[in-house]
Amino acid sequence: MTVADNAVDRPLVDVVIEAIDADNDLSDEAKYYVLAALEGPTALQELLDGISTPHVPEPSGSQLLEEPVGAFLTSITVAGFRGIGPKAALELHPAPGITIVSGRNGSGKSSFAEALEFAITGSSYRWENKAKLWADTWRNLHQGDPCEVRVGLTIEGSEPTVVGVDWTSDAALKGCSTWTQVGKQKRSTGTDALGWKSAVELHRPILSYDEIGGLFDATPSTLHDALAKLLGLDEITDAEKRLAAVLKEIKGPRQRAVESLRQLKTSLSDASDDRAKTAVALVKKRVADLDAVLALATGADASASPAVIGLKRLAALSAPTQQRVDEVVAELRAAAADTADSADEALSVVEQRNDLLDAALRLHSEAGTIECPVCATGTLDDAWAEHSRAQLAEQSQKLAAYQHSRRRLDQAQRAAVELGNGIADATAVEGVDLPSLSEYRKSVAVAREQPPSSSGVADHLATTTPAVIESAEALRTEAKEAADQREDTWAPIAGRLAAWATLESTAREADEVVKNVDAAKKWIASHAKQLRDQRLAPIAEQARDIWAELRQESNVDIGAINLVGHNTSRRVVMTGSVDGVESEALSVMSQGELHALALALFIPRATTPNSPFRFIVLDDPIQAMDPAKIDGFIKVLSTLAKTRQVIVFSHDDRLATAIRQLAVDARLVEVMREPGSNISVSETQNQATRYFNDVRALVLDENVPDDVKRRVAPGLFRFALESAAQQVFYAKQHRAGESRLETEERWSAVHKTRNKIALAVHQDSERDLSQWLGFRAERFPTLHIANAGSHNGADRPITWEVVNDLKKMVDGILAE
Amino acid sequence: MTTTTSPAVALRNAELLLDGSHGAAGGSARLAAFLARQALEELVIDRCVALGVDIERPSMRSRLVILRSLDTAENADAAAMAWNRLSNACHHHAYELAPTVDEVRHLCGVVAVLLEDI
Repeated sequence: MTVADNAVDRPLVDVVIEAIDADNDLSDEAKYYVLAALEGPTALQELLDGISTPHVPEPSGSQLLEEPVGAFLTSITVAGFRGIGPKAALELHPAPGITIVSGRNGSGKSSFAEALEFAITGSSYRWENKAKLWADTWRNLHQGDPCEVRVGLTIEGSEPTVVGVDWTSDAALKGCSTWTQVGKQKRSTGTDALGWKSAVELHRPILSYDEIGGLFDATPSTLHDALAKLLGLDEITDAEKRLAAVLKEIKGPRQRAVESLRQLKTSLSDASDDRAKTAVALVKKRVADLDAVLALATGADASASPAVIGLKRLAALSAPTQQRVDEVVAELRAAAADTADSADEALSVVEQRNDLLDAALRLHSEAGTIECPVCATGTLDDAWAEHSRAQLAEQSQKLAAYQHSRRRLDQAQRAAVELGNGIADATAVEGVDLPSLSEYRKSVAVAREQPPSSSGVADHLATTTPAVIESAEALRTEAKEAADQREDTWAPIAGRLAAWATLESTAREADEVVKNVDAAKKWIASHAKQLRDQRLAPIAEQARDIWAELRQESNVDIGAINLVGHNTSRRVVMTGSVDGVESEALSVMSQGELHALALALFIPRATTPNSPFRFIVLDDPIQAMDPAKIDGFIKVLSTLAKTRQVIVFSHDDRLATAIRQLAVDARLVEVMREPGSNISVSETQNQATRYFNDVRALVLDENVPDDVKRRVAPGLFRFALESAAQQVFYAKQHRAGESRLETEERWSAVHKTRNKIALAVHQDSERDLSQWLGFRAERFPTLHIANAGSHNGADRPITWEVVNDLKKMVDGILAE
Repeated sequence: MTTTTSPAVALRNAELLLDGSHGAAGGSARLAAFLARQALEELVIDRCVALGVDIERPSMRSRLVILRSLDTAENADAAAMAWNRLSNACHHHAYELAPTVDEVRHLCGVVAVLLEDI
């Protein structure tokens, strides 16, 4: 195994785990995303949703023993599947060599290929897409039950093995049960026992025309994807796609937040509201304070807009009511009328006179009748005292009444003052023009200029307050309207502000995930390229060699092959030259050349030395090929057939015809279809029978002199016998699980025809063959002719009888 | 088969035809195929003679069998393949297109290999 092979054939997950472990720049979270994306869409989604905990998958190397075993096919038996109704068997020769299975379109030959493919790759990744195409047509229409596939295999170092697939009469394609049986051991479920799981995907031992031909027909990405798949890289491509899809999705919140912010900024720049200015300042910050933004939007922040506050205050402006004014004015007028303005003075004289009388009375009561000390003419006697007391009582009563009126007037005057004080000052609101404001202020100023006299005050109030009341009402209305209007323009902005804050907060939560997923995606993209180049190099090399054979007269040379681009731009770029002029190879190739090129690209992978598959199956590979390319193709196949069992399904006779001309170890099998999906399979030719046919043709030709026939026949006899012996020996060896290399060595070490037949019959070249030779009368004489040198020639005429003997002996060997 | 043209000359003529040097209008591939087959048949006879089988009359099929038996596998393969293919090219077929110049040139190349060998 070369280093390159090693690089190509390691399971992808192992390579990725190793590379990701070594990468210190990638965060652990991003690493988990890489691994989950590789594992599958469900794993990725669960990791995103936080359902599953991040984990590192086991490297596949440490799982089941997946030591590849070299396998040849011995038979494919099919019933009820696709074009095959009743059970039909395609027997195959389990040794290196070519088998051409020919049959007309619809003869059922491809059904064998598909059955084989399903049995061997059915559980694998790449089957999924194909199964969709088949959803309803996979079961034979004529006889779909029993429905089963059996693939017989010889495996190096093991007993013959059977892979079986069974469907119950109502099972779906995927509802099959697959099993593997090694020798007579117990059947084990699935095909894991073969250890082919990753090998099937890496080596693609089965190539169909559809696949190969479709590579260039569709979009440029098709070939890219197929090669990527072949390189075992489709998993990583899919992982990249999965991450890209996820990324698109989780970038949504951020995009919505950005878009929302853009709209928000537009509406903010249009708004005159002072809150808008606050909002602009808030959202301008690199990391905006979302709580503050929300508080602003919901109005939780009271200080937000002084203008609105001022307007609201004006809207609640207090002013006296007309009723109250009327009451105050009426009371004031009544109280004033009740109390003369000069009463204060008179009241004082009365009070002093009363005080004097009161003192004179107290003197009289203590001193008795005396001369009046004030006037010194009168006498303070009892009569005077009585008269004075009565006078004093009357005066006091009058005085009290007066004092009462006086207090009433005082109260009325205070009420008038209060009324005046109750007229509020109106503060102008910055940036808002309220026409009624100056009117109001003017009327208030007038109202507050009260005259000193009570009656004047009453008149003043009565005349000036109605203007105040009226203008206050106007001002309130104006302020309220202005405030409402502000709120109306602000409301949608506030809504946007709140919406943005919510989106932004969601986006912030998603940002971290986006960052990690993005890192994971970038990591995969860069490593996919590296892996791709590494894996593609050896394939490109071999593809060039195969192309050199296949291209024949094509003037296109191919150089480097690269997979470039990603997403929708991914394609294969193949440098090349046309008649020595540098060019992009793919664009100048004809359909047939492209087809040959596809084969050249795909065959190397199927035949890497460490592939467990000793067989390669090509379904209709030559449809678009010119005869000259078929020659080259046969050369390629012959080279492959030295170490591989090459099985080619072909719908026309061209390959078979070409094979008939050549001494290639090839057998021709014909598949025919009869009514009711009955399929018959018959081997029409193999190498030994072809040599026999040559002998027959020679004998038939009467123009060939007898001596020439005698000279020529021994070589052909020898070829025929040895070819038959080789077939038998190889088949026996491989059935016994012997290795291909050892088988080849043992065969090449033996030179004599007799010993070669001994190998076939007894698997021991030294064992005595006499008994076997003596068992039939024709065997000794036939071997005798084969052993005659071409110089001397056969010692007897080459007659029909001799030719028939050869046929019998060949059949005898083949029957061993 | 009797002919006075040597295989080398016939083959050369075929190649000239394919190169367009002979100025044949159309059908040059088929004409060249005739020439190449003629050259091949001559070569096979020469080869048989070289192998000690000097006979004039047997069919080409028999001659190819003789090569199969007495000559190397490569020579036998090349001769058989080239002859069948050229023969095909020399006849009209209902379902097969006439050979292309490139195909016949390729076959001439196969015949030329035999020429070198003999």
